Amino acid sequence: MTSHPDVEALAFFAEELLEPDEERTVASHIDTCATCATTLDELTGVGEVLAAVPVPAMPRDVADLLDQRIAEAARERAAESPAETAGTPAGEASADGAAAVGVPPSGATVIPVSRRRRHKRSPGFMPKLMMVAAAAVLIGGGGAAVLNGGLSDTSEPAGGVAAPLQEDGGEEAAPDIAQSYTPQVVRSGTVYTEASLPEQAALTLDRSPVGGEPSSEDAGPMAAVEDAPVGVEECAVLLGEELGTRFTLVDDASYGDEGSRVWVLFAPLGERYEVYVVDPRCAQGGETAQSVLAQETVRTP
Amino acid sequence: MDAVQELPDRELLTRHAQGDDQAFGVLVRRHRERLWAVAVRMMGDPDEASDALQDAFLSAFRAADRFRGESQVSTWLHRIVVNACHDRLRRRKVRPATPTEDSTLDVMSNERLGRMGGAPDHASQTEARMDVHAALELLPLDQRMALTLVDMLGYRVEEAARILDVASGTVKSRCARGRAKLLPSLAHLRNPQHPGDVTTGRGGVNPS
Repeated sequence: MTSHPDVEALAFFAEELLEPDEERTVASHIDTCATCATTLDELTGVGEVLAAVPVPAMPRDVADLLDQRIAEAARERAAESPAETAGTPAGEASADGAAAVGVPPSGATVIPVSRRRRHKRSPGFMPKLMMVAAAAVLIGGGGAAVLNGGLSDTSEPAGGVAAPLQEDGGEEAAPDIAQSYTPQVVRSGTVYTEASLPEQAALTLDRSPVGGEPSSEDAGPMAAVEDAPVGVEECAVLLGEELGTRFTLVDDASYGDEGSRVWVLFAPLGERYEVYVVDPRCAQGGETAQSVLAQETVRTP
Repeated sequence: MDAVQELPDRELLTRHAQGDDQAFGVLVRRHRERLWAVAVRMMGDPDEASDALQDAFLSAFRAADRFRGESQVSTWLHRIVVNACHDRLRRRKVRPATPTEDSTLDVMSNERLGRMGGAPDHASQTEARMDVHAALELLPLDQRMALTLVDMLGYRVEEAARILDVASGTVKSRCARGRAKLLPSLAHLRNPQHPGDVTTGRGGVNPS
């Protein structure tokens, strides 16, 4: 008799995501295994539990605040281009009346959203973090990925959410496009191994300028090096093009039992990072992808 | 005013981009309830949902001229809200040194089982909601976001895929993984009234 499929396999089975042969195996197992049949049933229950959580209605003050902020934005915009909306008190007329007029006087002072980002970091961390953020900007590597990452807390204007990349294309996207594709290079001194790659990569990310706030006290943040090895850029760009991704960080490090020199490339992918260990010869022509020694995906620290 | 109210989303966005100072407000009022639901589910906290929603709408306000019409305005707005939530959730997640997920889920469910002492019918709706959000908090963000849209809010997989800008299969697998991870901590919440029916005295004891 087959062993029990794990819960994830059952969840995949429920979504019809398994390969045909695996699906047959699981299906026949469930027929004879009450435990797994129950688990499958409970998985459906998870969805039901989630669906049953009530959604609180939008509070009136949230709606009012939205109206205010939009009205304020419209006023600011009108002030920037007075010709278009001359004489129109932009925004004040934009609400349906109640929202804009009915707000208490305190509503006139719109408090930046960032005010609510309270006590989220220990005070001791702030200067270090800001230093790292500044370095990232000065070096200019990483582009939007860095600016929208964990570092942006201290530097972004209130309300500065990145619009979806897919819709980018106007003037405001220029910094991103103009941003060099040069990844930041660090030297962590790590000797990566295949077995420990996920942990090691996560630690490097954690300490790096692109990975957000370092979470462990004993591993201090790393700054990007200025003397990036020759070829690392080409390698990152070529491989990035081949894989349809963009590397924002490279660790100039060692790998394996021999401790041979490698470049460990990091590309952000949602809240994860794709990590590629590549031979430094990767930029010397030929198939770039063949120089990939190992690949891993780690979660953003 | 009425005329503006009836304009389609896309026209409103165009007008806004051209300098119309009312069009965007109409758009906001048309979509904010739905997007509020998304934000509050994602964030699990009304204050944070409010912040995220404001971030998102202001971002959309400024980015309107970059909307290229490749998707529905509604999808575009959803995506911006989801991105705003994602940013906030990620920052929130980065902060505490999180223990490994599986062990935490186990501990959570064990603690709860002990606390509830075999009387699951006392689990109030509030407690259930808190449990759900505590459990969601432990999921990787991509799974959490997919589950929030599909399971919690009832978006079709295809819609969620468009909003999250990934393939439908990716949404399905994220949901599947998320459900598998949530199972230990949420299975007991299913039909909480069911095991209690015998003892709560419903039907018979209380005259209706």
